[in-house]
Amino acid sequence: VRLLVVEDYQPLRDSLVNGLKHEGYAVDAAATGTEGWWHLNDTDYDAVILDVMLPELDGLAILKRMREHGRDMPVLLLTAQDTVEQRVAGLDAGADDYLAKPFAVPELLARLRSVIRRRHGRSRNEIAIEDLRLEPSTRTARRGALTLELTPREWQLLLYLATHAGQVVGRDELWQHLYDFEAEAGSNVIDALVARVRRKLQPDGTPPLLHTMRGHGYRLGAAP
Amino acid sequence: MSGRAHAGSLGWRLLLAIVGCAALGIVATGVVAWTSARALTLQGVDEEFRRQVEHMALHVLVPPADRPPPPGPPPLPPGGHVPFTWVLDLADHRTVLKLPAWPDAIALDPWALRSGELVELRASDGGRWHALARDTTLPDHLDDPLAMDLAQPPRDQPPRHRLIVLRDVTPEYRGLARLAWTIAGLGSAILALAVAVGLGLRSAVLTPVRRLERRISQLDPAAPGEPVEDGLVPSELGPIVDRVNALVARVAELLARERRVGADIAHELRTPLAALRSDLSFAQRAAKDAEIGALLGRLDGQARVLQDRIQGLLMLTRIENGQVGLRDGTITVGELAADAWGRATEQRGRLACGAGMDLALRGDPDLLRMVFSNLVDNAIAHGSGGGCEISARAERSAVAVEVANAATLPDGDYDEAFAPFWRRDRSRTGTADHAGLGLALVRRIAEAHGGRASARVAEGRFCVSVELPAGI
Repeated sequence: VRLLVVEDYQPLRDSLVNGLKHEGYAVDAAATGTEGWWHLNDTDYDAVILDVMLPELDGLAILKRMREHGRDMPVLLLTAQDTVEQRVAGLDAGADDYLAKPFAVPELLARLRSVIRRRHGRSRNEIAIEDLRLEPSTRTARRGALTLELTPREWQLLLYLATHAGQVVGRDELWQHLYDFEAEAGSNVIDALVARVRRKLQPDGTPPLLHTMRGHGYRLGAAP
Repeated sequence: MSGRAHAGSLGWRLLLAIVGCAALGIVATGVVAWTSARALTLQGVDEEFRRQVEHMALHVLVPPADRPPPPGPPPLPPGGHVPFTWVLDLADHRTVLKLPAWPDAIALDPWALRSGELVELRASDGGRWHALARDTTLPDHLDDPLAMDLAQPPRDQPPRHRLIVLRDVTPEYRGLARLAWTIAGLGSAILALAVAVGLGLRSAVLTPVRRLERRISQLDPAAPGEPVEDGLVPSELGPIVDRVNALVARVAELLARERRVGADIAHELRTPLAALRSDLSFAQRAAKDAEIGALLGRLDGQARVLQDRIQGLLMLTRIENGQVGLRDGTITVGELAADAWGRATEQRGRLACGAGMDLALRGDPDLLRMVFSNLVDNAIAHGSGGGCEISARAERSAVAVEVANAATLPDGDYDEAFAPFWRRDRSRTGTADHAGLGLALVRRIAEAHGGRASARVAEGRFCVSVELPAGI
């Protein structure tokens, strides 16, 4: 799941980027409104964490511009101003959620999961595909009675495929949603990651759930 | 009404000055008019009287000594005048005629006196005055002169041969009285006119002053708006308006600066705090070592305390500056109590809900939640593990909510508990998590809703009472 953090205060920006990366998200960062708009115009993020008070172009202006250009990515506004009027202005401008600084990280993560989940049209948190159960709030994955031990990146891959269950997801799309701009692209990075997840997801004897669609990508679900 | 000393009412002073001047003028004019009229009248009377006497044809018949006086009214005199001298006494308006001999009879020419006047004649025989005629109405006709007999004076005393003609001046005095009444009436009318003019002037002078006073009283110290318009007041008050406008502009500038500072503090403190808490929280989530994780958790807890205090201070400042817009909502005491207990920082003891939980409060739901949250947190923190008791009762258009907890403080009222940073132990080393802003916020929020808050200790219980508008 790829996120964009647009925040002008560097310590907070760095903290969010590092922390969210550690949680398994692919995170890009922008320090100004203009830079943020450039990223948003270029990449399809799963969610955007957007500060309101930004140099050059403020958060609400970016938000309005996004909606005018049909960029319907979920946006979580982050701001030091938390009056009712400001919250209303933010939500009316097209924000999906609003979080005042300082915030509790678990709340930020929960709100992120919530806006991402809503984007994929799910109201429930848990995702079930055959005997696979994913619980995003606790980042746990179980196949039957077996709990899968996944790294954050592996978890994000499985989660992304699960949110697109039954669909073929290409390598480029996976790369775009799992890795940020700073990651160095390699021809077999995605293949290696999928292979690791498959080994953990399909121990010996279990029916295959993650399929390779040669020349097209990968698909999570029951065998066709 | 303001209890401060002031220099009296400008309007009444003005009215008093106008009426006083008018009254003084009227009295002075009246006195001068009266004195002059009286003097002129009396002078006129005297002159006329003198003229009359000069032209008086006083016929005095002197009978021969050896012949008794003729019976009946004396005949018209043959025309000879008895020479006499006269003395005019202006003070008594009388003329004393000095005769060469005591007459037998006198006749007064009616032409000499005005018709209808009263004349009194007295004759002196040297020792006493004898009334010769009194209240005599003079005849109207020339041919019918007044004639009267004179009693012979006593022979044993030589007569002084004097005759007094008295004239009644009542008509003149009546005229003067009429003049006095006229002056009084005219004076009253002028005085009434002066009062009316004074009231009109007072209104004309005070209307712009009152308009200015109303405009100035409309200025909200928390949010001074437009300056007072110069056109509202006469030019004499222009400098005052300029001064007021300068002060208003200054207050507005200071408030704007304060609000900017508030917003800057919000941003400048919250953003680094957000970074700090974000770092600590992510680090705690990533910590492999449980001990380090616990340490990071404690650090994050302290950062949260810092955050709560900054939040409290900012909220306090914003409420005091009127920067918090109140939303309108209705919520029951029971809901607020349950919400506050559920969100309590620590849940020690138990929440005892008494009567009135179904009573509804009207106000901003978020701020009302903040009131209850602070009251419950406060009660739990200082209630020695005994939790807190909440009850409510309806009072006219308000609801009085009481939150109580066990206390070791002496009995009495504790209004100082609502001052920011007040602490029960006064040592400022007590509960680290509580900075003493909770009750200050409770009172400010209650007052922003038109309510009030009070605190007292009785029978070992600290009880905070908050009155808030009742909902439907």
